[in-house]
Amino acid sequence: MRELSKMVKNIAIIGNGCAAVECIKALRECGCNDTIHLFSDHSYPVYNPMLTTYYVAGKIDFSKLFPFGTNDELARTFNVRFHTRSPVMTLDTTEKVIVTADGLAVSYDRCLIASGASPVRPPIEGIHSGRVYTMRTVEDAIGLKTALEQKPTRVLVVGASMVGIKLVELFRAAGIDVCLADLATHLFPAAAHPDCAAVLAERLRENGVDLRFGTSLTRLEESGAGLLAYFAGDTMPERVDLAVICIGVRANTAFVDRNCIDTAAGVLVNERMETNVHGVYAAGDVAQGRNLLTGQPQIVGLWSNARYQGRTAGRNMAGEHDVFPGNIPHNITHFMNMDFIGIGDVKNYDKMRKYWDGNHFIQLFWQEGLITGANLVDSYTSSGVIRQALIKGLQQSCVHNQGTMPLVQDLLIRKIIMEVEQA
Amino acid sequence: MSDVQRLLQGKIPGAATGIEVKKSICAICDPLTQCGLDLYIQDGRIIKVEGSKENPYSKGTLCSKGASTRQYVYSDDRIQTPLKRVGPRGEGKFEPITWDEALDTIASQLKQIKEQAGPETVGFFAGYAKFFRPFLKRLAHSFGSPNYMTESSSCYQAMSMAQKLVFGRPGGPDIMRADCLLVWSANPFHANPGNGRAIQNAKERGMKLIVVDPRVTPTSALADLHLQLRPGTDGALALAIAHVIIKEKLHDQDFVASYTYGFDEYKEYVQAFTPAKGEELTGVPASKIQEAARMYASVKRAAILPSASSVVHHTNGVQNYRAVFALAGLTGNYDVLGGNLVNPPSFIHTPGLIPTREHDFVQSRPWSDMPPRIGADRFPVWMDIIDEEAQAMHLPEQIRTGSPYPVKALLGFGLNYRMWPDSEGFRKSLEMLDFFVNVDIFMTDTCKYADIVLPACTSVERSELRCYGAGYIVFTQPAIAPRYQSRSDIDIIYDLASRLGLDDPLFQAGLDASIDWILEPSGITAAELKKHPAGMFVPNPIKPQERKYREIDFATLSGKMEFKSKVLEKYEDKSGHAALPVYTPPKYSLEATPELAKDYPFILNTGSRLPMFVHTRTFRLSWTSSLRPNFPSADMNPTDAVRLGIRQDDTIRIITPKDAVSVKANLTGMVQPGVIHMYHGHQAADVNRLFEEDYLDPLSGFPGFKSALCKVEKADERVVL
Amino acid sequence: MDKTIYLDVKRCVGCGACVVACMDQNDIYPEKGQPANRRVYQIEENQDQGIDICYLSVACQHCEDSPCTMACPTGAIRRDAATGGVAVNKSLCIGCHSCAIACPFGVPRYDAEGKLQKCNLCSERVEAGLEPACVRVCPQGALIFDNANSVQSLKEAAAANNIARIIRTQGDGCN
Repeated sequence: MRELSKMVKNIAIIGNGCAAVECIKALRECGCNDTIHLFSDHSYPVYNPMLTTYYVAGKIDFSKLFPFGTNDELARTFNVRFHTRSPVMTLDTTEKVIVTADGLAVSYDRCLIASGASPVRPPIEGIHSGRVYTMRTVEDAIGLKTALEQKPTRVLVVGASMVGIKLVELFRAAGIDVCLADLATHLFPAAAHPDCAAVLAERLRENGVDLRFGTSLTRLEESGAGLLAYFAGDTMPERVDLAVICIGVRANTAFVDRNCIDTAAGVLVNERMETNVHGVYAAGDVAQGRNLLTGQPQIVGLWSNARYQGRTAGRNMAGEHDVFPGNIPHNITHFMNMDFIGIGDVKNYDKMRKYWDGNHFIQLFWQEGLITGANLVDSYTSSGVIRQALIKGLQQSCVHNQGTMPLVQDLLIRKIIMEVEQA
Repeated sequence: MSDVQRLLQGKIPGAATGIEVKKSICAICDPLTQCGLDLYIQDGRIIKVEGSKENPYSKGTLCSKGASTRQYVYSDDRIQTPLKRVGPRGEGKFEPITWDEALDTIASQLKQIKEQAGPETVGFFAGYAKFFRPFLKRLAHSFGSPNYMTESSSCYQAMSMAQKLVFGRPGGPDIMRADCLLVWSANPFHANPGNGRAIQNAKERGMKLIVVDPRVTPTSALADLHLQLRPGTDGALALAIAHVIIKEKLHDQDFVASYTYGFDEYKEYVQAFTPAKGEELTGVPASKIQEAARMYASVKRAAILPSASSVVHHTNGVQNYRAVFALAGLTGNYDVLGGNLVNPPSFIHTPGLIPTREHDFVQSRPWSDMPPRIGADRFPVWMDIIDEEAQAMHLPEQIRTGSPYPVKALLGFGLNYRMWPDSEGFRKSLEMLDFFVNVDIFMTDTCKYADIVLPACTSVERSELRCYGAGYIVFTQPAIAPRYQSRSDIDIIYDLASRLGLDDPLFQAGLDASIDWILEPSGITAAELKKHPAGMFVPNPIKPQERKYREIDFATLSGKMEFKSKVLEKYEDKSGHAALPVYTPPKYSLEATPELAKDYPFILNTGSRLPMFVHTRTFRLSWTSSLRPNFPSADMNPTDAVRLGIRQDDTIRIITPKDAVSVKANLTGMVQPGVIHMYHGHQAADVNRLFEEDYLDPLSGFPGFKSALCKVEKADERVVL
Repeated sequence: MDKTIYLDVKRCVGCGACVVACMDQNDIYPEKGQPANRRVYQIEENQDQGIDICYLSVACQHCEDSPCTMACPTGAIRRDAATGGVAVNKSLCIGCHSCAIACPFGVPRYDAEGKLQKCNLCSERVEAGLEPACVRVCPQGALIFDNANSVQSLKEAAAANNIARIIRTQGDGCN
């Protein structure tokens, strides 16, 4: 075991995603001169998982996957010591030391856990077939892009999620038949109300997508050059060339000692992105901050959320005081020339209003007089204002509001709500 | 991007980009307060417009219409050459001809008609813009025709008539010095933004604002008091306000005693208009009527801002406005600073604080040397009061009936048949003309009925003379060459005068000499004006003076301010025009025609200004029309819409006994329940066809566009518009 | 440069001049499917007697901590060092609409290629010492181009004026 100097104050960043880089930026902007060590499983620069489908679809070049530039550039700009291809095996919060897979041990004074999340594969037979893909990492993207060169004619997408729909879009654009399957009974089970999902499903069918909802994938079997996918209760399997699983992600916490650091689905953090262990912070898809709607800890797996969390962590690690009070789940996905937007909670409500004129769909949900959820189709222009309405209703002082004009915002919010209520 | 590229990207004028700024004025709308234009020109082409900071009215700003100047000038709908009709009238088949052929044909046709039927059988009509009016009027009279007509037959002149009947000389609101402004059915924010800005500024210094308007507007939103009356009940409201003022002795007793005629009868008449009666007749709460009366009458200086058309677009309009203007006399706010100050016009109805010879120029032949004007029999009060022109609302009937004499030919400048009530009827009358010429910028439906169509240019391609109330004057110079073969209306008039062989020395001398002649008393010359392309302040401006009536009598028959009109006394027996400002409900209304109102329960109120349109002039521009999607539409109150099962943008049919149009529904609380408001002049839904040709104010001949009765149905989706 | 465009809501009358001036300045043609950078909203609210209306002219607010910048997955939305405004690098924009849901003002719109199109604070004009086109055109003085402090003092001056007026008016009443 080699040891680096314990005499200098070290900051350890576990992970090389946007939360990590926002933390580093914030540290340096706050004047922190400590040594920053960054540990990454892979050697790619910071990439945005959301861009993988755009790359596979040929809409962006490979280099555009990396919005913050190369590791070298980051290292130079922010004076960061990169440890790439160095998965962290142990985070010893007692000894304040990090140990990597190849035996490197680095002491730290403060540490950020920003290890992100990985796609989940259901534990079913055949799931590890080479014809079964996931879509999250750079490797995933390269793998699927290569597979597409084999000109598949029919594919199975498992998981009617935001990633799933982008895959459906790119396959259809390439002229490939698609079956979209989900255990749930409708599209975007987490983000869409069944009424909204029905509107979207109709549009997907018009675009030639086979939908197979309310049934679970039970088994995959390689057959000739393709795959047979078996579903519960169905005798006839789906015959496809390949399958992509996008049923969700799981926080990367294998190195976290759950006896020391409080974790649930992810690492639990407060408004300052502090874990229960002094000097240890977490941010991004691994961190479980507060859902402003429920008040409960929840992972909000969003690029912007990760950045805000990383920045907040960095500022606090640098000795300043900054809070990120939490977030609400919200998503916009633009596919096949339509937009689906889900904001907040669309499952629990005591009042609901729907506007649907054949072109624009807006559905608002209330709980105890507050707007707590929204679904929109092809109404993106209202989405930001409605999201803000939710947050403003829930949180009086939100960092997002600084430097803006509340009166204008209030009036815009009232206008949209009035329009929906009158419809 | 290089620096020059960035400068080009930003359209920054200067040597580096070759972009030059030239001065002009906007005449897309024509409120006689033309906004100054800075035209950014590159290679002879306008690439951007901005307001001229020099302009005393617009002060560097523009409205959405003026800001659209570039699209207006470069519209694909511009008429490119003179055209000769080759198909049937209305079909729109034309052949290009030369200017020589066009003008020679027009001259020879007009001369022939004049010889065969008399000069009065040729009508001369001025639509928009207004800059060429003095020249067209002179052309008509030099030609020998009394029939110079303008769009002022349905705008402005009736308001002026009401004021002239009361005071002799109209007075404009002195907003900057007023302690209270009574805006009576105007929305300057969407019609005349400089006045709007003046109101905002005055409000900030503490001026009280009362707004009378059946609609909710940005102006009413700014008001201390909004009196939201039912359309067409203005007279009843004014009389009820007068009732309170007199009862509470808030009136100017010295002024009333010394300078007025008919006060006792007026006082007697307003007795009945208690606030409660006022509320019953107008829908305005009695308490608000009282509050308004006190607010207006108890400040030192109060002014009334009228509208050129809204109140007088009722069949009882002139009487209603007489009752309103009587308030200025009642409170002694006539011709005082901060009240309604008399400022004699210098040029085209606009005071410029200079003396001119405009009247002598335009009246090149006295009325007495010509046959009676069109409408003379039907609107005798017009002929007594309105010196400028004939009443064009009678034109369709006179073309059709040939009585009292035929109208054989029309020389129209921007004539649009959609301006008239029963617009379809007038369209058909146009087919009966022997000879019809229309000059326009764009190929309109009206042009399709003309024998010859001439392409006019826009304000930025020509020269025009304009005065401003601030004592400012501009004689613009073309900022770009006229597009295609278009020409200035004034050039066309002068050229025609020459080809008609008119014995008129000023037409022969040309425009600059004419302007020198008109401006001679002011000492300003065209040559001097040309040195100031953005305009200049006049030397030796006439200082505003108040209470001029102390030295010079009121220009009324009694020589006093008249609560009771001596002119109308003449007609009281014959025509039934009341000499007092008597209130009668609109011709078609719940009060006047309850049986009709059972089947047609909505009040149809049309033509209130929208900020992006002015009549039909900017419908064709994508910039302005993008501000009002789903147009044409009619405004209706959401409560009415819910009752009728109508949703936003549903197609509805608006039906009167005369006709029906289909439009989109626009649900807005800007209109009261029970009222349908619709903008006028649209090709796809021309609301004026819903009015009968004779739905006119018998005093002024103005159409009752602001109150008729209609019903509304949700249109069957299969109905093709 | 730290000036930005403010709206005095009390003075806005919804005339739309700012919208058109922006389209003229930036060669935006709605008939080609190009969206406006600025929009005017009319807001009606029911009151006991009739309705209240007000108008809003809204374009990019160039927020100090702009949510769109944080939401943009590609780094296409950044702060422009020269103007201090929020600028778009269209070559990076993938048209994912993430900025739409992030913007509290409902500003983002997308051009014919699906890329974010928005107000750039008329940066070239401002560098040349001119005001943004929308501010220059506004007939009511509702749009103001200034730095935050100046706008604050303007608002305070207006407030002081109002107080003075109220005192004056009440004083008149007592006379």
